[in-house]
Amino acid sequence: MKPSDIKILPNHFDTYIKKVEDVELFDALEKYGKKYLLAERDKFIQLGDKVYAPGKWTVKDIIQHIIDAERIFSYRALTFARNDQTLLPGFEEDDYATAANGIKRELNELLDEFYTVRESTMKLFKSFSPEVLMREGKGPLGNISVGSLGFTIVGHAIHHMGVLKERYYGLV
Amino acid sequence: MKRSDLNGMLANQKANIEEVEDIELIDALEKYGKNFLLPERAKLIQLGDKVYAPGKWTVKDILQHFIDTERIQSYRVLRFARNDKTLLPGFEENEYAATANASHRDLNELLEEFYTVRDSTTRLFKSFSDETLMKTGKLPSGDISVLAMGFAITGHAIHHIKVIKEKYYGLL
Repeated sequence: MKPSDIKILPNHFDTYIKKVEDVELFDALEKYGKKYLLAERDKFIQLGDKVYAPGKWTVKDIIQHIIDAERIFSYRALTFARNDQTLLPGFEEDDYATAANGIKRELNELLDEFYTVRESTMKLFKSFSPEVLMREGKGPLGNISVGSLGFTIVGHAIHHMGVLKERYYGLV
Repeated sequence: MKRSDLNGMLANQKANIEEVEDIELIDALEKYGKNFLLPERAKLIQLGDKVYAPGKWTVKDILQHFIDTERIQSYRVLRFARNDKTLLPGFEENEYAATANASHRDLNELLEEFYTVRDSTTRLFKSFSDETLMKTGKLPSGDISVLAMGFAITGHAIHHIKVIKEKYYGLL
């Protein structure tokens, strides 16, 4: 399944889906996984806890946020894949970031956790047939398909890497 | 933290939690992860789709079931750890198993998925302080702590492997 196979783009998450080029979902998850972040590791380490304006997330907060969001989105994908039509709850990303306190964690540990979570996400999506990828469930911001959630996961990480490159890399 | 550090557990989680001896949670997650299933691999493959009574789950259904459950439980844990007090939905395990249709999957692929999911779970728990392990959240069956969820995840897999040994291995 490719982004061009999504008939109706979901609300809100369409921004993330549009960040991904028109490739197969599994290839996209792989391309923007470990290799994608590993290439930025040295810059992240250099950045440390620098932020471009007071109160903004640090690099560690952002990676923690990407991990948390991927765990939540992949749970939703599992639920929808199993035909579960329960309306699933949303989450307050700023509250999560504050509670997670990602700044106290080791950057390498966060990166390793991201790689593992992405591998777990890839195995989940690999187990889905094209029919399952088209199934829809009820997310907090409206109906969304399993496949759209997959591309949201990929595009969400791309979005945050874009912000890091644009607003943070100039600080080092 | 160890199982004996739990102050209370939900009735429906008690049996699973008590499958685990009184050791550190991270050690328990590691002990009953890949190393625990790998020695059973040959027998699990031999079993194929054999069941001990009509309508019972196959070995593949059981593996898929504890992969699904671990994904759901670790998602819940993440929310509790982030101070999220939303009442989280339950799930119908028989409907999930029927929809997942694991008999069509490859046993080795299921085992590989379990190892990755467990690795992801372990990294999640490793990121928690003792204070976070004591946080609680809301499930349909009642309030439960992050620590109790960790032991419930571990014990749930132990429980199902026991059932396989007791009721399925005799079929070989």
